[in-house]
Amino acid sequence: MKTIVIYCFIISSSLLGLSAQVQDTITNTKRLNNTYGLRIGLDLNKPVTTFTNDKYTGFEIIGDYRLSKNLYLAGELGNEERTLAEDAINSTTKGSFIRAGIDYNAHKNLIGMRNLIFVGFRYGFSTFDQTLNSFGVVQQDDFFDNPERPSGLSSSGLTAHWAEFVMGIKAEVLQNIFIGFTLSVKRMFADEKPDGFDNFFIPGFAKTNDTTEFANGFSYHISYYIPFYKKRKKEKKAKEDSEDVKNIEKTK
Amino acid sequence: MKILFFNYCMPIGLICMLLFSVNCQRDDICDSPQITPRLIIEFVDDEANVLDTISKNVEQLAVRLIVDKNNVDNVENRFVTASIVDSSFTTSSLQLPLDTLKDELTFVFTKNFGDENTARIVEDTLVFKYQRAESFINRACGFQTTFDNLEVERRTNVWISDIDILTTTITNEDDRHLLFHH
Repeated sequence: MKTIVIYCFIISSSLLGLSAQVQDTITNTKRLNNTYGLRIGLDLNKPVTTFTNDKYTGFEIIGDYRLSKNLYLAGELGNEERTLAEDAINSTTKGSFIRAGIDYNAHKNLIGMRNLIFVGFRYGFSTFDQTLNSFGVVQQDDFFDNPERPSGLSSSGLTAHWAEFVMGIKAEVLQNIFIGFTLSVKRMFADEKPDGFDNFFIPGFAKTNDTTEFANGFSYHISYYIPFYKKRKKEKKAKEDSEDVKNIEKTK
Repeated sequence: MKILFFNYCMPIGLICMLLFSVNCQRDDICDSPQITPRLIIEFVDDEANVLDTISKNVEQLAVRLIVDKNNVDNVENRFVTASIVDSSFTTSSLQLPLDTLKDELTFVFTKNFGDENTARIVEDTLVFKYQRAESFINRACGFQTTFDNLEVERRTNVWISDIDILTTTITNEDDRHLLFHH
C-alpha cells in the first residue's frame, strides 16, 4: 500500500511537470534547452526497500549525459544484497552491477522545458557471490522426517550479462531537479551458475525464473542536472529555434 | 505525426509495461517428474529361474521400520504398509521409502500379517545400508537425494528365500531395484 502511494505521487509529479507545458510559459526564462551536462541521481526503490526489508540491502546511482539534441548516454550502477527465503531454497546473493546504454528523448519540449520521455536500451553486467543457506529435499511421501537442511554451498565471482529495453520519464520539477520513473524489460544472456545449485537472484537484473530468461523492472528516481556548456548555435539551429518561437507565438 | 505517436503510443506503452511488470510473477510449483526415488522391490516366485522372473503376490505383506530392536511390536516401529484401514496389504511390488538423513535402516517384512492362524505369520529382518548424495532439481522443488552402494544384510532367513540386487545405485523409480524370492 505504501509503495502504491509513493508510485502515485511520483507519477503525478512527473505528469505535473509535463502538463505545465500546456500553459504557455513564454514569460519564464527562455531556456532553449541547449545546455549540455551531466544528470546524476539516485534510485528511490532501493533505499526504501533497504529500510523496510531486513532481507535486502542495496542502492543504485543513475546518470545520463547529453550527446545531442535528443540522445543521452545513460547508465546505472549499484550494489545489492538479497536473501531469498522460499519453500525449498534459502539463498543469499551479494554483488554489484552496472548498466550502460543510450536513451532517446521522444518528447518535444516547448520553450523553457527540459523534460524527457525516453526510450532506450541498456547492456547490463553484474558480478556477484551466491550462497545457499539451507534447502529442502523433496520426497514422494512423508514417512520419514524431512526438515530443511543447512548447506555450505557457495560460489563467488560469478558474472552475468543481459540486455534491457527501457522506457521512462524524467521531469524537471524544480530548478535542475528531475524526478521520474523507468520501466524495463530485460533478457538474461549469460549467467554463470554456482556450483551445485542455481542463480535465484542477480543484482541489477531481478529474481531469475526457471521458465523464462525475461524479467522486468520498475524504478522511480530523483536526479540533479549539472550543466557543463552551451552548444554554440549553428545557423541551422538558430533557424530551428526561431521557428519554435514563432510557433509558440502563433498558438498563444 | 511524430507528436501523435509519442503523445498517444508512449503513454499506452508505458501503461502496458507497468501492467506487464505487476502481473508477471509466476508461482513456482514443484512439478519435476524426477525427485527422490523410493526403493522398488518386486516379490517373485522362487520356483522360476533368474532369467524368467514371475511376480508372486505376498499375502498380507506388512513392512515395519525398526526403531526399537528389543520390542518389535512397539508402536514406534511404524508400518510402511499402513493405510487408513489396515497395516498390511497383498501385493507383488513394494515402493520402500529410504531415510534421506540416515545411512542404515532396519525393516521387518511380515507375510500373512494378522492371520488368525498365528503359525502362518512369518517375519524376516533385513538391514539396508546405502550412501546418499544430494543434487539440485530446481528452485520450486529444491533438492533430491539419490542412493548409492546399496547393501542388503539378512538378519533372519525365514520366508524370503533369496534376494537379487539388480542395481546398487538408486536414482529413479523406472525399474525395480531388488527381487525378493519366496
